[in-house]
Amino acid sequence: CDSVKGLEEMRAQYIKAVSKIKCDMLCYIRESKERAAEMIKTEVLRERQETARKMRRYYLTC
Amino acid sequence: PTASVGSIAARYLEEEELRSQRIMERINAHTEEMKRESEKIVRQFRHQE
Repeated sequence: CDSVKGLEEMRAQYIKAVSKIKCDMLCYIRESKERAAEMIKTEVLRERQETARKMRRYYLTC
Repeated sequence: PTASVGSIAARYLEEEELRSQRIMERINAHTEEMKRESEKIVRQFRHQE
């Protein structure tokens, strides 16, 4: 009976550690994706503004 | 623009490196905690035998 209790405690301890690791990993992956998306968004915006500037200059000189 | 894309990617990866170091530390902390706690459980149940 005591050994069963010990096993159960070990099991609980193991599950707790694994779920903490899972939680941290999910968080890490989500943040990586968000950071990448944000970076791409910023760059596309910057590129779009740059193109608009070039177009304006082009039509002004013609 | 192509050069700046490269440097942006490089900066992203650099920051990502720091982030991965931090998560490794966190995971190590979790496994260390599990080692300590399971050690405690083993000791406790060894005494009862």
